Amino acid sequence: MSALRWRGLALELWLPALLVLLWWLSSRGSTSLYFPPLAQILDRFASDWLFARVGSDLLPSLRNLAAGFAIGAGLGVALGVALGLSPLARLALPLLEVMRAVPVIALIPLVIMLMGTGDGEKMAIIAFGTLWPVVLNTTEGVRTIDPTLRDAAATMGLRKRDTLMRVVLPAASPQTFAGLRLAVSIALVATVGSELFASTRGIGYVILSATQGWDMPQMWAALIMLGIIGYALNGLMSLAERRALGWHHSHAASGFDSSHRRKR
Amino acid sequence: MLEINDLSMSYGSGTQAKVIFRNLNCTVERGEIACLVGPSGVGKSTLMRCIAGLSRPVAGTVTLDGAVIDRPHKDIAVVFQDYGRSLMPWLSVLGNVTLPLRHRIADGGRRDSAAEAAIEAVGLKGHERKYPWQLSGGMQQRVAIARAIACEPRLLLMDEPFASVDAQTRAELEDLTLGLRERLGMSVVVVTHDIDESIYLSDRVVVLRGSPAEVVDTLAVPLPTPRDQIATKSEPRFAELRARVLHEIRGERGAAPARLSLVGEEPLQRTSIAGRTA
Repeated sequence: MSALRWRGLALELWLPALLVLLWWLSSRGSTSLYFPPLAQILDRFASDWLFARVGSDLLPSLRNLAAGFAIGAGLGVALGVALGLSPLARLALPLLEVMRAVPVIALIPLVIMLMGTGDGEKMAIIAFGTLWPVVLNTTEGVRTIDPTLRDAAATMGLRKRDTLMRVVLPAASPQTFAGLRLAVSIALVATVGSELFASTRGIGYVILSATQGWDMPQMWAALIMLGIIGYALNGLMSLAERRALGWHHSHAASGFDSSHRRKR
Repeated sequence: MLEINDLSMSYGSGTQAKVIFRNLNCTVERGEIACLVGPSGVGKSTLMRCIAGLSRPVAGTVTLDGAVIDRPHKDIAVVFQDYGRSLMPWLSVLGNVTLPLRHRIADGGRRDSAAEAAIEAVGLKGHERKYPWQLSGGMQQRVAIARAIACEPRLLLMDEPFASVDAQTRAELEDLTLGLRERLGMSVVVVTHDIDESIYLSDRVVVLRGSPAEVVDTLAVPLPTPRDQIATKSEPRFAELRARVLHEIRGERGAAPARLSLVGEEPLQRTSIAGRTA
């Protein structure tokens, strides 16, 4: 790792580190039931999440999150491309906006009624939350592909598969990734939310049962775990984006981006 | 041979219809370079889209060696004005040139070598792994030309291909186009608003004017080949043709002869110098 990367890391971490230190100092002698000393929480974190609950609660949560996200993202890209290429896109957009605006948590009771309780139900909820931002952004990305690019693809007589994989999807990918980024945080909310209802395991379940048993250090430890997961997911997204959209950032920096995308 | 027969194009319908051109006729022989010139907005690009099969005319036909063109055709390649928008920024130079070959050449190795040959032909050898946005405008347009000729088209269409590059690069690309036509023997149709360019490149200049547009003249360009940026442009016949096209575009046919001789005489001396060296 270069000196510059270290510097970047230091810049990113100094504030969280300072806050943790403040938390540690201010909670040192705490006797509050709700805000136990950080030392106690970290003890609990170490025993719960390194590794007693990894197999029983962390992995099931992550697996549901990954599967639900993958299903939602896959369906979202497919549906978004289909809508973006069809003249119906304009008609569908308001409906998509409504679907996206429905808080995914509100659907949990309905999904439980339809699918019962289990991993399938949780994945469905996560997938539903992931789906709409991806559909919306991909549709928009495909719809606004530069007409010159479409003409160029048409005159080359490309097969449908090549047009899709090498022209349409890459051209829409900056928008698709914007949707995926939104979707990641919604998926995490949906994961925890789905575990708060009729569940017997998962991070959300740990939080709920800890609170019900007045085991506040355990609840705080689970919250810290969630924070770490969220941060890691964001990092993974950035990494994927850098790999997939390296061309886009350099292309934009070279000053061609405004001409590349059609103005609406 | 490209034949345009009684071609008509309009947008809209009924009384609102805007007629772009009506009953247009022209032919481009095999291996010939023809330029379509005319004032901007006359419908050159619309005509180009019809020839490329991107737009369907309301009447008439475009045929290439007898086959009716009503959709993009495998033997017609197009170079667009906006290289920044017609190249895929997510693909390398090689990836861009290979793209139209994917369904033509099944074998990956042979496909790459065909693309590399095209890249070499436009003078970009060594830049295969770069991305379009790492290249200058002129080089990007060379990539677009390589992508077009890699398909070995019978007809190469170029829509204002050099309008977005500087004068020096433009001259280089004009000579590249002439050289490629010489080597590959395809017909070339260039849309341009630059009269000098149209005469320099062409075996035949097609002048469009009016609304709806019509072909006001089709001039053979009897200038010797190979052409040379200095010698050819210094020929008195070049100046005559230039004046004629200019007057036709402006619609001043009547006034043409008087000014024609004036413009025609001045470069005579330069011809005698540059003409011999070339």
